[in-house]
Amino acid sequence: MSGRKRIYVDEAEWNRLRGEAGRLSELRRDVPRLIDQVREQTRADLDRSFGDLDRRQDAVERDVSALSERNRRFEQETTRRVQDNARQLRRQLEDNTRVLRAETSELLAKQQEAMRRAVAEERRERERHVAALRADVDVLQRDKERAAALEAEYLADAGHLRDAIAALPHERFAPDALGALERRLRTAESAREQGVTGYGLGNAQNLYHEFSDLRVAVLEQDGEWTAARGAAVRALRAVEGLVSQNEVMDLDPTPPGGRPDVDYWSRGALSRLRGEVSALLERVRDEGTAMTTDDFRSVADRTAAEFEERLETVVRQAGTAVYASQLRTNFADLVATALETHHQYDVRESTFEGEDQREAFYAKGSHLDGSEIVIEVEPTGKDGVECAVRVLSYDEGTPSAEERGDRVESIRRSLRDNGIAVGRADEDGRLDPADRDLDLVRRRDPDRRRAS
Amino acid sequence: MALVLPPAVPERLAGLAGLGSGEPVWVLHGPGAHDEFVGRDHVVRPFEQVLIEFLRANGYERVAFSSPVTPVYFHDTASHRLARPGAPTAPAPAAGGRTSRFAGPLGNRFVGSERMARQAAGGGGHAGGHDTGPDPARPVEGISDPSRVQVLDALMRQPRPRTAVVLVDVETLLQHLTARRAFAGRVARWTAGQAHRNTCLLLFTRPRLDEVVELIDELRYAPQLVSYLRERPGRRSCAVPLPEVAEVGRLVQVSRLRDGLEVTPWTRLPAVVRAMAARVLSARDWLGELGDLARRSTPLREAGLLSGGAVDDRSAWERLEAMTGLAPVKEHLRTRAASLAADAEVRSRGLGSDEDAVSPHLVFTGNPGTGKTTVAGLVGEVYREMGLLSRGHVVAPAADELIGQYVGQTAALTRARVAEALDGVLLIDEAYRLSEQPGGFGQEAIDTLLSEIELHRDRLVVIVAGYTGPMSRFLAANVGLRSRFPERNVVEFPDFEPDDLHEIVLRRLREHHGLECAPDLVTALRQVVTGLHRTRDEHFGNARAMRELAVEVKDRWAVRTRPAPGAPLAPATAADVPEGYRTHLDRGEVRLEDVLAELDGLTGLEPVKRSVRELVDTLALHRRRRAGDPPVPPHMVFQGSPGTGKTTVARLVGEVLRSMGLLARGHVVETQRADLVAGYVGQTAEKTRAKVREALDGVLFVDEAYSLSTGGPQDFGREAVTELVAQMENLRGRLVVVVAGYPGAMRAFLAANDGLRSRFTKHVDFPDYTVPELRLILVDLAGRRGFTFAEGTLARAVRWLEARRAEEGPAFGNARAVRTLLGDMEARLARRLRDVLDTADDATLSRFTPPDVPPVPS
Repeated sequence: MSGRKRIYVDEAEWNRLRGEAGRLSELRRDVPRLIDQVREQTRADLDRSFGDLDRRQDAVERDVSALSERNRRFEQETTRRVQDNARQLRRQLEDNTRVLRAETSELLAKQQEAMRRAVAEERRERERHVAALRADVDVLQRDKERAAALEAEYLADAGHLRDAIAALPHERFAPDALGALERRLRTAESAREQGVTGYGLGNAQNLYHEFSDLRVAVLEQDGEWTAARGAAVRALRAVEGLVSQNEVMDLDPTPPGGRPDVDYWSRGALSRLRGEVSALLERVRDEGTAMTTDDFRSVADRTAAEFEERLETVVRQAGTAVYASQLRTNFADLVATALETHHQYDVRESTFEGEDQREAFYAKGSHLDGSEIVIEVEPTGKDGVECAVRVLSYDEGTPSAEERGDRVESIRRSLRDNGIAVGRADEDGRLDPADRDLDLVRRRDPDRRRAS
Repeated sequence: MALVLPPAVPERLAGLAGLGSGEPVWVLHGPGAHDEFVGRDHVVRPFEQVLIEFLRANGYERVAFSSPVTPVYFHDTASHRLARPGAPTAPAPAAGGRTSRFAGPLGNRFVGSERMARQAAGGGGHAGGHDTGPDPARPVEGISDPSRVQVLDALMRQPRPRTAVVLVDVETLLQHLTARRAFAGRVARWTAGQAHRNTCLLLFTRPRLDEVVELIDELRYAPQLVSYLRERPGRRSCAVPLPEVAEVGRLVQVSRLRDGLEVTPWTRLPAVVRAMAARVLSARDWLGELGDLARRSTPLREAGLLSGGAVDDRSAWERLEAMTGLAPVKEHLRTRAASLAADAEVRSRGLGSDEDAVSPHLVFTGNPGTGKTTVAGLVGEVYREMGLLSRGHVVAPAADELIGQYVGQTAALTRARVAEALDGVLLIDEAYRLSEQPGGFGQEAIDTLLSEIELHRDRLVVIVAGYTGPMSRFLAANVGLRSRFPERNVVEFPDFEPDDLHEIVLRRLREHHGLECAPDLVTALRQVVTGLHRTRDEHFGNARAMRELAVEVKDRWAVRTRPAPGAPLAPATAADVPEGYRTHLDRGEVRLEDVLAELDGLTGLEPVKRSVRELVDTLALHRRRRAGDPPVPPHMVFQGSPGTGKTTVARLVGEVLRSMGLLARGHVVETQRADLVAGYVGQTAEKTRAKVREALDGVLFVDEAYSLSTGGPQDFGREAVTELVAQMENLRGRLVVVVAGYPGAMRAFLAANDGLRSRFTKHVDFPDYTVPELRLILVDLAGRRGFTFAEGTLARAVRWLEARRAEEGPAFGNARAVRTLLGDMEARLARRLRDVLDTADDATLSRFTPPDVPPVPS
């Protein structure tokens, strides 16, 4: 007959214990350190991104300086506005690293609003300018000579703007827009060169304005993209930092064996999370990335938050696992105490299966008459938080079935009296001699046992 | 194998040496199993510690205990180590709450709930229960009984180290054990030789082994243990009694040193300790009482610790000698004591045989109040001083207390009282009652008593006591009794003499009640006790009767004098002699001539007067003829109608006989059927005897005696007659019985009782009064009350009496009818004078007139 009895721990008791464990394993956030770290790590990225932006804007500036006197002032003004905004954005990004992720969207919204205001202002300027020109044009229509010269001037300025736009990543933000304008410009130029009149000053002015609009739009979006990418990088760096901060659990007091390793207790979940964060960061940082401003915003706003939530879960699971493991030893201790006090076993030897603290805990008691009893506390349930206590008795002598049953029942009752809420003692398979030798238990592979 | 008794083991545990027999299972039983002990080293130890000292001194390396509450525990570290080699001997310090012995990821922290930790902490010391004794706070539950049996068996069956397993409070344990079959099986294995040289000690608080065995037997699950214990009881058990003299002496010393108990004077200490040891008290209780004394700074000398009142430092012999009277008792006891002492000496030299051993058991015969209980106490002390008893206390149940209501109860009751009396004296008063009910439980009590005497030969002295006659019948009825209580061990306690009684009653009044006795009371009491002594029977209470008399005198004195607070107390006088005792007072010298003159003065009754004179003459002749041997006055039959003077004449006859010296008191006790007959079988004889005792040395006057035999054959009147006849025979010369009634009825009564007829040799006929005699009686009665008769009144009264006699025939009341008439006339006179009560003169108020005579019945 089997001496193996399975004793389940009451579910309500476990729910309570799980709550305790959750409170013990809060996610660790060393925010000042995290900010420093993120600032450090994102500075180079920001330098590079905004440096590129600056260079492009400088190139535009140069091109703009080649414009006719008439247009240069407006274009320079626009460029200055865009550059001011970019600088403002960077400063804000750098200053607001304090605000890690939650206000990124707000930040970007402010920046967009500023850009929109700038561009709107520019447009109004241009419209006033064009209205002034229109009076001139009416006068100039009568002066063919002057009109032709003015048309040529607009077309030349359009050409300068074309060159400036070409230096910008216009294909990313306004695909094919420049090509179309270029074709119209070439047509106008060739017509003018061939002496064909009629394209006219008005058309040249319009073409120029279209080039100007494109330039502003590309500049605007370029700044927007750069800022969004910076925010995404920064958010992912922050997640990376949090992951690093939570590689081990900070417990008070610190356990004698050191702080528990979250990756170990989460059975690799932390490593997997870290890998995903790194991969995404790589994609964001890749210069040739196809990611859009929206993509970056999504990363900064949503994906990073999801990563953080996952991190929290992983850490809590690890904490609960630690707690559950500890409880398994505690339960074994309670059972051992009951066995010693009421049943005269001396319980000395103990081990985790395969010396892995995440696995079942075994303790063995020996009786004066040579009988031995093994306490097995095995994690159960989908998250391994619950446990089943089994008491495996290896009786020496010749106790009758009735006596053996009485002993097991008395152990069950004394456990209950000692605070372990236990259910009914059921037959649980055959008694495995391998469980009696704790050296074997110490050496064996739990996974292989489970597989068998 | 001889065992060592280390200094921790006091005298009362000498029986432990029996463990040398090597029996695997031993029973220790007795009230001491819960007690503390003071060994020869003067250290106070609980029983379990004493056992450890003893067992370890005798080669037991490991001593384990098991109580109903704690399945297994150890008192010494060595035993604990030998039983639980892996267990640490001291609990780990648990700073900041409970810790777990097993390290997990959080080290040894205990992360369970508060409730869990608390309950776990309450579940026994976590380091394996080092030296943990029984914890009374934990409930008795059999939850770990299977394991208890498992570990006890392991301890008993290991060849090494040599082990003793001590089961404490086995009464409770056996009754609540859940693993019964397993336990019984293991014990059977041990007794069958599987215990190597290990020993299991079972501790019971029941005083006797057979009670222990009975208990186990009743539980019905360990029959092997029952037969094992029954097989060789002497070799498998020993008693654990209460402390004896030597240990009580050490208890006093311990309390002196520990609590500062004062002992003054030292010279009296041995006597005090001897007296203390006679009390049935545990060492623990003694320590408590002595400690209380010390706290109250009361010296032991003055302590009310001793059941026998003040400590008397005289030896028991000296006190016996000092007792009033009892000369034959003293002499007898001296002889018995010398014989016992000599016998003990002879036997100590290996000479003599048990069969001829002098029995220490005694029979005290005599009436109540003759000092039997007091002397029994002294016998206990004498035996203690002689070394025959270790305690010498007296347990004195009445015989009835030994008899139960159902089968088996009697033996249990008897054994219980014997157990109380062990090492002392069991005094059974009125022991003859045990054999009074044939087929009753009394015989069972006797049989039990005899087997107990045999069982506890050296620890029990039995004294049976009672009236002389019944006791000799009691002893004669049972051979076993006679052999234990031989004739030479019968001590007769004589009744106290009148002088002793007089001294006793005066001492009680003066010393116990604080009364001053006036000389006339002293004289009167002498008359009373002399009378009581003279009329005493076997129920006479002797000293006890004197105590009752003193109480009654005091009550009467209190009612008479009504002492005011602070006022001087009046002495008690002869007036305080209670009514019931006054018949014993001298009524002064009575001269025959005076009595006869009074007889002659009676109206009518001439045949009666002649008859009495004849009797006087006859008795006088007899007295003259047989010098020194006074004649016996005859019992008499007075035949006559009601109211013919029979009672009056009976009283005069009593006076006549007293004046002639033929009756000591000559008083008359008037009785009727109702005074003699009771409602239940057996009660009538006693009721009759009581009246006879009352009339002793006087006249018992039974009016309308024929009514005793007018009932059917089942009527208890016959029982009264039978008893009366018996008493007349027994008390010949000390009692005159006069039966009286209508002539015809009395003739029938005597005819129906042969025994009666032959004993009533004097017949006196009382004729009805003639009308002139009735008239004289009326005049005489009225004259004594100061009434006169107006003319015509007497004639009218006579007509009324004649008419009444004619109407009533033999039932006519004679003189009684005259008294009735006089009463009626008085009432009518009063009615007539109601309106002139204030104005009428004395002559008018006391003169009957014809209308005062009731109308003549038609």
